[in-house]
Amino acid sequence: MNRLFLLLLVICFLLTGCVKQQVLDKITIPIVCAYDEAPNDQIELTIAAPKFQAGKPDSVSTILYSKVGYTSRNILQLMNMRLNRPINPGKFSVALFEKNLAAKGLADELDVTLREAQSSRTKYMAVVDGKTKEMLQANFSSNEEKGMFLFNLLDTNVRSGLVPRQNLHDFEYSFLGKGMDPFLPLLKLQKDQVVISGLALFKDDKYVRSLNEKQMRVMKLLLQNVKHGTLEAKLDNGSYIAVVNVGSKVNYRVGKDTKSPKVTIYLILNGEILESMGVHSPKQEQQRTKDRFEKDLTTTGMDLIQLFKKEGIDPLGLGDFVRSKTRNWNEEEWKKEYQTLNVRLNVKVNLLETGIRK
Amino acid sequence: MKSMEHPRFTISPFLVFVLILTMQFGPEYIAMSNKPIQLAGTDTWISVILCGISFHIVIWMMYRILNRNETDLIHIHQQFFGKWAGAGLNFIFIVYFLLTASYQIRLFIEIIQVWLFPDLETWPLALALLLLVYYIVAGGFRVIVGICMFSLLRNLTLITLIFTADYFHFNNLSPIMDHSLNDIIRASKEFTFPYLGVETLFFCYTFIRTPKKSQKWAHLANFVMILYCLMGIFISLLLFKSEQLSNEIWAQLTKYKFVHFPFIERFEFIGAVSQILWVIPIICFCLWASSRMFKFLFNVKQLTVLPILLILVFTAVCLIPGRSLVEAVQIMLSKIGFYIIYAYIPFLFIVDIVRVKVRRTV
Repeated sequence: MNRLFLLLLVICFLLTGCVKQQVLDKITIPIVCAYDEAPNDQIELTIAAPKFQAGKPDSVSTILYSKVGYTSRNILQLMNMRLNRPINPGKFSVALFEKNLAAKGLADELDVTLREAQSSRTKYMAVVDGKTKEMLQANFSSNEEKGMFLFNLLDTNVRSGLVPRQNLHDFEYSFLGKGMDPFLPLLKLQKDQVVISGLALFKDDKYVRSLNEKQMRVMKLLLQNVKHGTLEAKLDNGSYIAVVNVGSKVNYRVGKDTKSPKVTIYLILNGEILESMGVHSPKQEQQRTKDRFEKDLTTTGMDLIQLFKKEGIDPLGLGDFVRSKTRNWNEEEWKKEYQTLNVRLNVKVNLLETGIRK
Repeated sequence: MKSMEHPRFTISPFLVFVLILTMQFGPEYIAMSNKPIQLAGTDTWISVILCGISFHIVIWMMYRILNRNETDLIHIHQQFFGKWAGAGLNFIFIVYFLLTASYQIRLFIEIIQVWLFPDLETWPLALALLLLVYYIVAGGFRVIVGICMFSLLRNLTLITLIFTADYFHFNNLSPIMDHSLNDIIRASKEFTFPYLGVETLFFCYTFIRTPKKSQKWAHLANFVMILYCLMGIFISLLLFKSEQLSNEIWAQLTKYKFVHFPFIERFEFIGAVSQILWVIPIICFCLWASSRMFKFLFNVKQLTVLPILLILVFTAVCLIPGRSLVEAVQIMLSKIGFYIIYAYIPFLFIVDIVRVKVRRTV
């Protein structure tokens, strides 16, 4: 009896082929998908399907497919009618959104990707200044697949560049979380090259305005502890000096009494002088250089915070931070308080090394 | 009345630790953090500890009952309540165990259907799993404990959660004690379902070689279970906002989405499939216990009744079509489990004390 059952159990392994198969050679695995605005509340979805040539493993080209429709899954289905290999949506790693579409709200698109079990939660999202379709049509990556190029562009800049990390999970986190608002990197096409031109700020899930590259740099310092990136400042005598960031720490404090500022941000930045054009002995200049950097960072940072308050957005998550320090925090009251919130930024720059020269 | 099993069928006391831990730490934990965090938010970890402590008390009660009578619940029922009422109570437990087994299998199949193969039918996988269960249960109690031991391999998938650390937001843990005691207690009520499983002690008691020595192992198992639950809750709190969790069905599997390896891009699929290690030991024990109760109720051999029970479970599994009914069964089971733990076991405990007192005075 037992043997019979064991036999039956073994036979079950023969059933493994009974579900739908997806052979890698017979499906299309696009990496980037781009959403554009279309009339009548429709969206135009563009995907870049990689095309491999037999016998040449290192040459990959991309073919663009785009279609207008109401739901992105239906659009993918309709695209399959033009493809010899059906699309599998599992590997989408970059999602691009047109600025105008982002201004209408991304909540619907967010729901699609978060609902699907196959989709990645750490995929990158970016807002494009201009039509995403036109951007993907441009010939910006010479020998790399376009989706892979965009993914690596965002990935390296987040890991070791100036762009603060904001992927699908982070976006949903700050969109749904109370007292915080999301932001996304802003891409732009400049002479057939894709450039990260700044940050796109959102109010809830709607795009409101953008930040330039300098503001983004400071924003990253205010958001997280960073160990990379350079800073540049103009000294009083007209010469420029560049400092590489070897470790910055940011700390938020909530003031207890009503007199002191409600939130104080302490930023300590350890730098190493990289370039001192025109300054011959930076050692004597160090104090002045430090002051200059501290002043620069403080003004840019305070300007940013003023801007956020004016727009009524909170990408730094100040509200969430105050929530974690106060009992019975209320979102409605906070929103009223936020307009007149007293925030102070306290920057300290330490210049530790000067390279291998005096 | 001595009714211990032949030493050939018994297990050493420390294996109670493995057995109770695998029975408690069932697949319910993958969805456990959603509801309580809506109720108690940052203070949910207090609820986890409160619920765990209450289970320690329940285990202590169970051992008092069992040690005094030195037999399992099937016989205790008949001693306490007479032949017919005892049989009725045993029958309730049979239904409870069969329902638990059906729920566990259906939950596992649902996870496979949602995460991996949407076009998979329910019955082939249920059939394959139940054949496996028959094979294990037919091997006897010691084989089931062996499977429990084997299922400890699942800790490997839990270790990978360390890779989610990149996304932790530590200010999600404060402020502490921001919620009322009422909220915290309501949240800890939600935790009884993941903690369920200690009631299995009632049925395997006679299979422990020196049962009185096994109490500390049962308590240790519950303690480790508290740690597992705390880990799950802390990671949920650190990774997600409660508004995000309210949209998730299986928060634990979503956590695996953050794990990437150079050789496995998507760890969540392995995480989803590995749920079988949580499910199989529990189904095996449930079917073993219910077939054993049948043996004493109707004087039949355990192996003859087992296929009938398997067919019952199989039909029940096939009759649960999708999410809404799985959830309905879950709510029902958590209610039954709640009353077994917090009403029935204390009731038995009191009846036991009263019986002893009465016997002394007489």
